[in-house]
Amino acid sequence: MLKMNIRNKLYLAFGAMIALLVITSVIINVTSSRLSEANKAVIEQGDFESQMKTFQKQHADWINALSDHIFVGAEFSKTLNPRECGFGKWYYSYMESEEFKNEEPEKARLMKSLEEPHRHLHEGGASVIEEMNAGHKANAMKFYQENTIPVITKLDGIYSELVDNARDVIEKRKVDAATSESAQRTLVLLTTLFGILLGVAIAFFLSRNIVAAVQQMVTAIKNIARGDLSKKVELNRSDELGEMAHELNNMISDLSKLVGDVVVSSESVANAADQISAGNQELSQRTQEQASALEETAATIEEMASTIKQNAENARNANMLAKDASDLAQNGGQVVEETVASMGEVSDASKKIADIIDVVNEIAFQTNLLALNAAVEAARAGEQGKGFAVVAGEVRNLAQRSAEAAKEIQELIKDSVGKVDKGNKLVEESGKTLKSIIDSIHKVAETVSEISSASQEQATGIDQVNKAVTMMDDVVQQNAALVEESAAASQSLALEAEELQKSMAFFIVTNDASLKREERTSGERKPRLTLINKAQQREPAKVRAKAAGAEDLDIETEEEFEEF
Amino acid sequence: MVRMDKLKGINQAISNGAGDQFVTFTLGEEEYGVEVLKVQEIIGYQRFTKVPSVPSFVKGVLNLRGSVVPVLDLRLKFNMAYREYDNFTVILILEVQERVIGVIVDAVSDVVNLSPDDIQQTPDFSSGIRVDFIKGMGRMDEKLIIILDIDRILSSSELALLDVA
Repeated sequence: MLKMNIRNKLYLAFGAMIALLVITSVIINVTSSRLSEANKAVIEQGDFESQMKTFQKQHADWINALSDHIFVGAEFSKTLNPRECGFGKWYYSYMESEEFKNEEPEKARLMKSLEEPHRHLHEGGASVIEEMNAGHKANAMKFYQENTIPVITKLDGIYSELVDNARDVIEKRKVDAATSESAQRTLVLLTTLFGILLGVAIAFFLSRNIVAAVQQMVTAIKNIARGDLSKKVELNRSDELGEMAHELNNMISDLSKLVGDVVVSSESVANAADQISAGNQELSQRTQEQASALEETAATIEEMASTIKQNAENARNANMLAKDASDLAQNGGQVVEETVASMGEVSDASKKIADIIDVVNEIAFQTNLLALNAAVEAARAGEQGKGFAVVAGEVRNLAQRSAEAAKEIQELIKDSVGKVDKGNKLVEESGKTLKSIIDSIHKVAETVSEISSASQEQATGIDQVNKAVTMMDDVVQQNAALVEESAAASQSLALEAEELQKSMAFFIVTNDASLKREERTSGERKPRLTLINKAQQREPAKVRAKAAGAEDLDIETEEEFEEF
Repeated sequence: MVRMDKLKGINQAISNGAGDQFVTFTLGEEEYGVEVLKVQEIIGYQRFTKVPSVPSFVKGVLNLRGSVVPVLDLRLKFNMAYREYDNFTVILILEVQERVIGVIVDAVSDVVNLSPDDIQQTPDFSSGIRVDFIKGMGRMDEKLIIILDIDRILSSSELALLDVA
C-alpha cells in the first residue's frame, strides 16, 4: 500500500467505493426485477386461468351440440378436427412455441397430457357422427356414453389440475418474492454500512498518509523561504510526494551551491572593486603626467615649426646658390672645351715643328757628310789641304752642333707633345669632372627643392600635429572627468558588493555545503572579512584621495588650458 | 769642352800629317777606324742593285757616278746582328787592293789624328781566333778605337767574288 503512488491510492479508494455502489445497485436491481417478474407471472397466470376456462366452456358447448345431435337430432355444426377447434388452434401452436419449452415441468406434463383426451374427444365425435349417419343411433349413444363422456371428464380434470398448478406456482412465486425482498433489504443495509466503514478508513488512511508528508514539505518550504538551506526533507517515499521531496532536496542543494558561488563571487567583486579603485588612482596620476607631457609636446612643436620655416628659407638660398654654381660650372666647361681646342692646336704646331726639325736634321747629316768628305779630301791633299781641312772641321762642327740642337729641340718637342697629350687627358678629365659637378649640382638643386617642398609639407603637418595636440588635450580633460566618474562608480561597486555579501548572509547553507565552504574558505573567509574591513576603512581615505586627485586634476587642466 | 777636344784632335791630325789620320765609324756600340787615305768618299745610304747567289754579307752593287761598286755590310761580315737601314746609314767608299768597294756602317763619327804612341798592338788571343785584320787599338781620350787593316778584311777569294760581282 505504501509503495503505491498517490494517484493509484486514490484510484484504489474511489474504485472500492464505486464497486460497493455498483454491488448495491446490482442487488437492488436483481431483487426488484424478481418482484416485477413475480407480479407479471401472477397476471399471466390469471390470463392463463381464464383462457383455460374458456376452452373448458367451448368443449362443454361442443359436447352439448353432440348430445343434441344424438338425442334431439339437431344439426352438428362443430368441428371434428381436433386442430380446428379454438383450443386446438391455440394448443398446437403453443406446443411448438419457445414458451412451452421454457415451461415448468409440472405444467408441461399436464399440457402434454391434454393432447390425447382432446384428440380422442374429437375423433370420438367423428365416430358418433358416422354411427348416426349410418342410422345406428344406439351405437352412437353407446359410444357417447362409454367413450366421449369419460374423455371430456378426463379433459376437465386436466384443465382443473392446470388451473390449480398455476395457482400454486403464483403462490410460490409470491412467497419467493417476499423472501428475496427482505434479504435484499438486509444486504443493502450491510453494503451501506460496509461502504461507510470503508470510506472512513480510506479517508483516515489517506489523510494520515498524504497530509503528514505534505506538512513535512510545507515545513521544508517555509525553511527555504526563511533562507535556511541547512535542513533537508527526510521523506523516504516512492510516490509523487517522495519525488517532490527529492526534487526539493535537489533544489536545496543547488540553491546552497548557488549561494556559496554567489558569496565567492561577491568576494571577488569586492576585491575587483578595490583593484579598480587602486587602478583609478594610478590612472589619475598618469592622466596628470599625460597633461604635462602634452604641454612639453606643444612647446617642442612650436620650436619645430620655427626650425622648419628656417629650413625652408635655407633651402631657397641653397637652391639659388646651386643655380649659380651650375652656371659657373657650365662656364668652366666651356673654358675646358676651348682649352682642349688650344691644346690640339699646340699639338699640331708641335708636329709641324717636328717635321721641320727632321728637315734640319737631314740637312745637318748631309752637311756632316760633306764636311767629312771634305776632311778626307783635305787629308789626301796633304799640306795643301790643311786650311781646307780646318774649314771642313768647322763645317762639320757646325753641322754636328745643328744636329745636336735639332736633337735637343726634337726632345723638347717630344716632351712638350707628351705634356700636351697629358694636358689633354687632364683637360678631358676636368671636363668630365665639371660635367659630373654640373650633374651633381642639378641633383643638389633637385634635392634642395625637394627639401623645400618637404619643409612645406612639414609645416602643414606641424599644423595638423598642433590640432591633434589640442584634441588630445580635450581628450585628456575628458579622461580626467571619466577617471572621476570611474572612481565614484568603483566606490558604489564596493558598497554594492558589501550589500550583496550582507544579503547573502541571509542564507544558512547545509552542513555538508558549509563544511565544503569552510574547507574552501578556512583561509579565505577571514581575509574576506578583513578585506571588507579594509575596504570600509579605506573608503573615506579613498574618497578623500579621489576628491583631492579630482581637484588637482581640475586645477591642472585649467592651468593647461590657460597655457594652451 | 767636347768641341775644344775635337778641335784639338783635328789640329793634331793636321800637324802630324795624313799618315796618322783615321776616319772613325760605329758598328753597334763599338767605334772602328780606317786610314783616311783608304777612304775615297763618304755617301749617304742609296738604293743599290741586288745581285743573286753571293755571300749574305754582299748586299749588291751601287752605281757611283757611272762605275759599278760592290757593296757589303760590315755588320754581316763581322757576324753581327743585321740592322735596318735608315736615312742616317752611311756607306764608306774604300780602296781595297786597287779595287773600289762600298762598306755599309751604322754611322760615321769623325776624322781623327792618332800618333803611333796612341796605337797599341792587338793583344794576342788564342791562335784559333782570326785577328789579323785588326791593325791595333787606338786610344783616344777615354775610349778605344779598333783600327782595321782594310786590305785584310776580305780574303782574295772574296775579293775575286767581288770582281765577278
